Amino acid sequence: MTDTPPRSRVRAVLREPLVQFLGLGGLLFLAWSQVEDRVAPPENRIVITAQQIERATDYFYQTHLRLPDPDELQPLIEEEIQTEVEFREGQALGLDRDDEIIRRRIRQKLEFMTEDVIDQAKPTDAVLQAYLEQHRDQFGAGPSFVFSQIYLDPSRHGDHLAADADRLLARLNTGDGRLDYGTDSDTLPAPNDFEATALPDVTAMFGTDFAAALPKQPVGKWSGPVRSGYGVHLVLVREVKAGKPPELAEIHDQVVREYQAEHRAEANQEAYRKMRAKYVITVQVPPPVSPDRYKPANGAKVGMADDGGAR
Amino acid sequence: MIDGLKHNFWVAAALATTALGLTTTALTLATATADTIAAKPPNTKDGQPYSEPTANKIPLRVMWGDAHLHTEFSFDAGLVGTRLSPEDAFRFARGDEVISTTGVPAQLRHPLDFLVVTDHSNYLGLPLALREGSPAVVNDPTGKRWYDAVHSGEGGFKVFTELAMSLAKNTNELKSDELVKSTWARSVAAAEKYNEPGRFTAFIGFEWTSTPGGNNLHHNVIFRDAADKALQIVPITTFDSEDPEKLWAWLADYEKKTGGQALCIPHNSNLSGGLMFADKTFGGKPFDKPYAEARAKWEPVAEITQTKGDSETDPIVSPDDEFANFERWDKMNILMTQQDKPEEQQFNYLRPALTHGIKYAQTIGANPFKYGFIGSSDNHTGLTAVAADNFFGVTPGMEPGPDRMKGGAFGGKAPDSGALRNLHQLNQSEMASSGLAAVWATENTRGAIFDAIKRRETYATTGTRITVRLFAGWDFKPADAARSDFAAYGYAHGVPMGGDLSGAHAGQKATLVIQAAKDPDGANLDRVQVIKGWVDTKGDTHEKIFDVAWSGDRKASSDGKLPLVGSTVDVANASYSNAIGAAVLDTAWTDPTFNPAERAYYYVRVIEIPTPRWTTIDAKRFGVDLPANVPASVTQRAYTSPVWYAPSGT
Repeated sequence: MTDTPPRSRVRAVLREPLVQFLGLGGLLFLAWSQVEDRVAPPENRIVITAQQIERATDYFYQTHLRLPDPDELQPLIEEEIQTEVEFREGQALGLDRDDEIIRRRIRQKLEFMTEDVIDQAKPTDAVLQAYLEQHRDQFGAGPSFVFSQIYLDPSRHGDHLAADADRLLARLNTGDGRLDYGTDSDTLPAPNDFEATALPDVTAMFGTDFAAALPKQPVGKWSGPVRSGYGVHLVLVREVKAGKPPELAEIHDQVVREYQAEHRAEANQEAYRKMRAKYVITVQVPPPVSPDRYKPANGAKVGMADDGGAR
Repeated sequence: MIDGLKHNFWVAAALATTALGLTTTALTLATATADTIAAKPPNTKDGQPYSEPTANKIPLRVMWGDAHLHTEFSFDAGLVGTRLSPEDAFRFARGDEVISTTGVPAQLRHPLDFLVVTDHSNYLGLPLALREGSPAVVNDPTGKRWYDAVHSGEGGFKVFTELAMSLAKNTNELKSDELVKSTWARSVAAAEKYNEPGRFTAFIGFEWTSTPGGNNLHHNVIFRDAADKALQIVPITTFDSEDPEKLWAWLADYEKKTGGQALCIPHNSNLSGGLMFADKTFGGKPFDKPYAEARAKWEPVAEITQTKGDSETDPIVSPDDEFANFERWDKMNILMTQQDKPEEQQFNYLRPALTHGIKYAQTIGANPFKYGFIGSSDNHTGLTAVAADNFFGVTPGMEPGPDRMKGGAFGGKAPDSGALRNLHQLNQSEMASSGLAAVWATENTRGAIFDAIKRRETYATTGTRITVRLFAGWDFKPADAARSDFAAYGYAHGVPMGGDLSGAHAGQKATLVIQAAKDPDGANLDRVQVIKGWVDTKGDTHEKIFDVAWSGDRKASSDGKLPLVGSTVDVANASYSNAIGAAVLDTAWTDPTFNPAERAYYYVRVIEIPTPRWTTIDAKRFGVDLPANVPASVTQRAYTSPVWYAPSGT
């Protein structure tokens, strides 16, 4: 387990290459707009920042679980200087240009940055409000049902199932209101009486058919038979509570999450489309590939054996 | 939720008892002498509990979930092609449609209530780092070699096989704490983003993948907590240690350091080469009481079923169990480096482990194998889809398609020889479309679900949504099984699955009241069984299976065997009908062999009528041949956590 000193938890975030990159990118963007027309800094100046030294110190701490002595810090700073000197010399020689790792890494960084810009560009409340209204059910605003159910098990009623259900239904609605779940309802590992219960919970307990039928039952009287995967039920919907639409403020982060999930791919595509449009692209098609090119050199079998496996 | 509950203030007492994990029954509490302070809640005029919220603390319905799923963050998922992230995994589990790695639109018929993404801590995030060319990888010579492999024609598969086999030797091929740490932060952030208390629970977790010599000692770690605590640590890897005792010590450190809570769940004992439930510690020492207590504390439940086979029992150890031969992977260990030895099978399965466990309780004073049961998928696709007719396989190579039953589980080229060849040739058709975690939690939150797992109030199914409730006590009557207030009465007068029973009065026998219902959108039930294990006064162990409730008017034969229910499966059409079986089975079963002096455990197995295996459904839907190496139909089932009985004063 890494023993992280509290102060460096913030630094841990700051140390993230992505965070640094984005931070730096933002600063550069700002700075560039200010100084674009002014004189560029001398190309031979190297500044080792306090942040770089802190980062080197943090790495030292993680390995040694103590801070470096001054004479241990100096080589760390030298290391930073050497890295920067050699990086610049290599860059001057164009070593970064045809390097596949650097190309992929920079592509990745740009895509991260694009994603981050998309995520940072928080949609306005008006947009979110509209999204919320279009997706009410997704945000828990569906109705809930205060109801009771009596279960009739087909294996206990056999051929009399329909007749038994009709007789019981008539008695419940016209009789003296006498009701004893112990004798009227067959056994089911679910309650007879439900307080306000949302449809997803009803589905989890009674299955798809019952949940689809419940909203269609009249309120205030026993109805049915309603079919479920278990058999049939008589149902008394006592009350339907309209879903109280949550206010945007209550579920702001969830709405942002859903909105961005839906729009991220689209926005990524759009950002790429714009960048691509800046280029004139020529594709030089190679001559047709001979199938021999991909034959295994050692004659090994390609693909999987289908001999039934290890059994 | 349940009106009757509000009038029963004993419910509050019973639940307080359960919640505190006391080993006494509510009944014991109820018969406490009058001089016990606060033994009885005060009488209110309306009969309601004084503290109103306690009235509803009975789990209304079971919470369904998957406590074991891998995404592209896992080396053995991302490197074989998986492109779904933890965020995709959470979206899918909560019911959204997502596009699978191979481009197949995927959606669950019914959403899950919770998901734990458990990517391997070893090489956590490596596939992404290789894809992205992260400095943590390409600055390392080995990492650079892998990077070149991944970005050349060889692809990630070569790296995957190299790493998979290195697990057996536990060599760390790429030392990068930074990679594990930064990926952990991403994993935690995804769970935080999708956790919605009351609607969908996204747990923070990881898998600790100890594989000494190719034998499976894997454990999943689940946190009760949020990012503020989980980000104070970096997941332990097996390069720190392969010894589960070190994992428990790490969990204890986590709790001490953060004030949070975590537990671990072992899985695939069936592939452990006799190690998971062996008769000595990992270090080779005999068990002692502190070891047993620590194990029972940190490993409250075990995964009894998943895609890589079922771990309940095996025909070799349970020859008289006609339902034992179900989705068994009992030929080799997980890396297929060695054949299973028949004499070791007793250390690979949970039923014999439970039996050994109560014997240890007798001899060393604590039970190291006090396991409740849970089911999960262990899919490596980011998709927790295990229904037989909506099965997305274990790896991207076995996502739905006409050829998926032909090839090896991981796709790619099979080497010419060795263990790796065995691993590759494991046929995809042998994967089981299993399982699901069922948790009797009071609400859908990290806290409530974690607490229910901790008290073992859980069961496993092999992929269908069977509901089963179980209470054990001394005074249950036959009619109690059909009570309309079954749950409230059960909690008030007994202990639920996962509980401890003691305090039998003279002449009393343990009675189990059980209610089981079919998957409301699935197949009928064949039977309910009680599996009992016990240690007699001479120290000999025994196991017995009792058929306790079944459909129709079948009669048990003179040797106690109940006839099979039959089958409605039409193989060619991959269909079945509910013309046989029952929708609901309930019973109050009193143990005829009960002896108050003998330690025992009881768990319930609910068996469905036969239904088409996923391979049969695939054959029909893709118009391909039925594979000959697997059965055409299976009997899906549920396994409840046991209830343990111990004589008073032990």
